[in-house]
Amino acid sequence: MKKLSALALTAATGVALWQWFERETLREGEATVYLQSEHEHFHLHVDLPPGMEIQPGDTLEIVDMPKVPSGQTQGEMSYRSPVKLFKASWLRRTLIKRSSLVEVNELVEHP
Amino acid sequence: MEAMPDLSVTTRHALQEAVLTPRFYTTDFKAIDALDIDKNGLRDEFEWIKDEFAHDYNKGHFKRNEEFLAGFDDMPVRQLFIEFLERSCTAEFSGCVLYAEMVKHLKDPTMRQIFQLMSRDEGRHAGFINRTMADLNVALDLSVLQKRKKYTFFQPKFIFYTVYLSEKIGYSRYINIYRHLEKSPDHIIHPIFKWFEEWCNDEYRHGEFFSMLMRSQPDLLNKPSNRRWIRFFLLAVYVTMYINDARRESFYKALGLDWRAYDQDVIRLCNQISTQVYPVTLPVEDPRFFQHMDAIIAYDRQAEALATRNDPVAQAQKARLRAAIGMRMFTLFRMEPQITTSQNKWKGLQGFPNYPGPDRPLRVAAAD
Repeated sequence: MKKLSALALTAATGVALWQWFERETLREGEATVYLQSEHEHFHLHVDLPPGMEIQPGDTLEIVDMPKVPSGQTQGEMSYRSPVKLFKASWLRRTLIKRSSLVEVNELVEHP
Repeated sequence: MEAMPDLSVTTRHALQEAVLTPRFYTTDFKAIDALDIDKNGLRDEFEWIKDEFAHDYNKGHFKRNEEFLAGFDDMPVRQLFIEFLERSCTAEFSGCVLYAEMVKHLKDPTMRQIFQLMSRDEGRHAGFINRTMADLNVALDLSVLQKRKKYTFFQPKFIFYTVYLSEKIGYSRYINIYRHLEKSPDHIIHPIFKWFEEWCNDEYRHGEFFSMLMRSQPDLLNKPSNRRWIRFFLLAVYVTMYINDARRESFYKALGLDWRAYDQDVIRLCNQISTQVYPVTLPVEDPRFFQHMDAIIAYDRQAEALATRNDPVAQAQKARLRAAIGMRMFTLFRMEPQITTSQNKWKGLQGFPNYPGPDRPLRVAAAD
């Protein structure tokens, strides 16, 4: 019985930790997007509204994207778009900060 | 600015969409902002490199000419070339975004301007590649920019070590291709390679800035644990490149290059350049170094041959091969490093401006 209780407790703790890890808080706002995709320059910069800050583990979604025929703009476009910032849980943030070396491939790869 | 003539070319190849997989990074911006770049008397050097960037040596370089009008339908290794452009565009674009993020978060006006100017260069390179892809009827799928973007976190020092190396190995790769094609013009499969010389000078110049940044923080270079990180990143960069290029042997062959000789030249040059700042580098002149590197390639080729198989035997074999690669890398890491001395230290690139000292004449920025 004791063993079964310990097992159940471990499983419950695991599930709780996983849920904590996966938990996201959504913050929404309006950002200014700068996009240029042509011969002269190719960049995308997003100015987030004040107070909205990207931290380790967060993900950002730009809701609107204008139609860009053949992926080529005429000069730099700037437009306002709603953005969704999915804030990572404290647990995910801490683990990502401590384990960033796992993704070192991203940094050392060169074309 | 002079208007760009429309140099579109026609192609019988179907429209293809390039898969852009940009990386978005975040770091401890506050820690970077807190770095005191004055404390070791390097402020004037930072001002000088800022002026170098502002001078914009390549302002007029990335202009296409009539050579880009030639049809490239039948060019050799067309698909591999497109993939090379995709990877290059992704890397340049990611660099542009990373540097722009730095601008947003840093307060020191010199640092902000330097990152701003480096972002300009990377965006310009990405644009040049973007247009070259359009010539080949490859359209960038920009919808990827709209999708949820994951931000990868790296400690500032990891960014400094690796971006420095990325810029310097980028220089070494491009200049080696350029010098080779100068001697073997028959192998110029696309005019973009003729642009590599000035292009890679931008990369070299960016690396100079990161070298300065690390020199301004001696702990990053002298602490024993950081020296181990330096060796780790040198090795990671070299092995990653060696494996990637071995897998794309036919691309280099089309350029008239033996990938292995080319990579070894690139590694030797990059290792030599990095003595400008790193107190230790890897013993690339020790014959055992490339023997271990070649063994890694042999294991990787065996693993690649098993790539399509998912049965338990193949899985076990792949795991064994990955472990063997890891062991070889560990052996390489444990090799006695090359210590940088005043004799073997990189003295700078011939013909490339070095910091002339505080009494230099004022630099005038490039005119429009």
